[in-house]
Amino acid sequence: MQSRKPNLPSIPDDPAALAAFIDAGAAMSGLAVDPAYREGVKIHLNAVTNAAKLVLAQKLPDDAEPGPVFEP
Amino acid sequence: MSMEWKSAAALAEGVNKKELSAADAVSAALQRIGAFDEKTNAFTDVLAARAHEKAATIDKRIARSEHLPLAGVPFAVKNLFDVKGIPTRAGSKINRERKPALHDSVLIERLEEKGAVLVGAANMGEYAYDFTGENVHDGAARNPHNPEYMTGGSSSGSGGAVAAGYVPLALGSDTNGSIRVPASFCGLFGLKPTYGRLSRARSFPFVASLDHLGPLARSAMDLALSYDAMQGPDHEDPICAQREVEPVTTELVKGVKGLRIARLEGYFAKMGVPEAYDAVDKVAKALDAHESAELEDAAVARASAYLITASEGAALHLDRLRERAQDFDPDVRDRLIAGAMIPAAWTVQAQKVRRHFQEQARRLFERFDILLAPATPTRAPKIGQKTFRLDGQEMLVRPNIGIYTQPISFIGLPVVAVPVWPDDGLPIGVQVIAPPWREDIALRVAHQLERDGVCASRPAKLPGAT
Repeated sequence: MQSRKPNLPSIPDDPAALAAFIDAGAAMSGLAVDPAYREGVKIHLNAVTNAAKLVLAQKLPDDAEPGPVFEP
Repeated sequence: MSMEWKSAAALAEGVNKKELSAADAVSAALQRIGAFDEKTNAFTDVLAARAHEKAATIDKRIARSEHLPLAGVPFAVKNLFDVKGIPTRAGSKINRERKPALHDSVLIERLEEKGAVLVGAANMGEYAYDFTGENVHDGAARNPHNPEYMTGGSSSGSGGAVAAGYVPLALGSDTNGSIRVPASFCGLFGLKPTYGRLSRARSFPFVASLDHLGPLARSAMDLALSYDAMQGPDHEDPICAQREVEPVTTELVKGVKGLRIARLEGYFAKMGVPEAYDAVDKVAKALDAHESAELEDAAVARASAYLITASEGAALHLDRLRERAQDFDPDVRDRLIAGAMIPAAWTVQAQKVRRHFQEQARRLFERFDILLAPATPTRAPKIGQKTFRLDGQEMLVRPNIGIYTQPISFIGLPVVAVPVWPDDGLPIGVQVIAPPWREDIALRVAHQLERDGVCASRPAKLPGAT
């Protein structure tokens, strides 16, 4: 696999965006993130976004098949 | 040899020859659990009445001259397997309020049909989202070789129960490494079969895309015996392959001659402590394996497994997170909440990486039959330890114990984790990785390493035991 060209969109490295993402994600998922949980959620979501940066940087062809196969 | 360290094969042979009864074997296991498990915390449910009843039926079958490959072998299961009559707690507080399971899981049924006897359900990390063996509700499982140290997780009690000599065999689950990690930390043999090989029916899931079930034991032969008993298609698990039983027990004696074996370099030669690499060296040398190979996208594979795990795990638990977030283990809860926010495009890309990485491995297996890699980056950390130093960096323990196991289970390859003892201290494991559906080769290698004295389990000296 090759990395995407650097000018293609990636995930912003922005703490404010991450905080806003938690608020929006919690609201849309119907989750009430207790203030006591928030720091833990932030740490883990940061880890998730770091993993996603690596994954999304991979250039795969449009016809690349995903892993799971559904057999009717 | 005293009963507690007998292999499943030896116990079954003794019962089949009527040198001992299933009732004797089961009573000895229950007695030892009762005497010592307060210190190791491997079991959450000890099922004495059920076990005595089942042992009596096995003895009747033996009296009728039936031959059973697992006759009278006591075994444990991680408490995410359905066990008739008790709630399937899956390490959680929430699930223990469920109604008792109406039926045993398919793998329990298959083992008992071959003569094994379930003696209890084992401790585990909450909802299997764990590599440590710590559990805020049931307490940490403790490493029988040194109770101050982790068993590894999430099949923590399964590893502890076998290493403590309570049972010669236990079942666990492995989504990202949860059989191979406790095998490494507790000095055991662990088999994570090919994805889809063994039925997951009537077990509590975690990540449907990645969940596997399999055995932990103190020898490769015991893995093979139990694996043969559990194989076969099952319509109740849509992922379970429509493959007939491919017995491996009789294959073990074939040895390793002619196998092309390489050690994985690159990603798998970074971030570990020297003992992890020394263990691979020792195994490679014993196998006369001098070549090296690389899975170049292993880091991306691991990141993809991380995303899929967080996302599918969160989807599974979304209602419980909405309604009872306070009842989760905080470490698990916060990770699941974060997982609930992952955009679908990220996990779809991760699933595409999965197919791509599978192809990369397939090409490597055109050149090699077996790949070797460390099972864990370190030996067992202390219970409660939050960080460790890997390649000079201070890293969090909990998410990084599985760095070497995650890329392999991501593409469902069969693996046998084999134990190496660097000194008189704790053990560390090596992954013996085979192509899809070739558990037989990995088990042959493990068996040969055992015969050559390179890999072995060691009896744990439990506090207070004579």
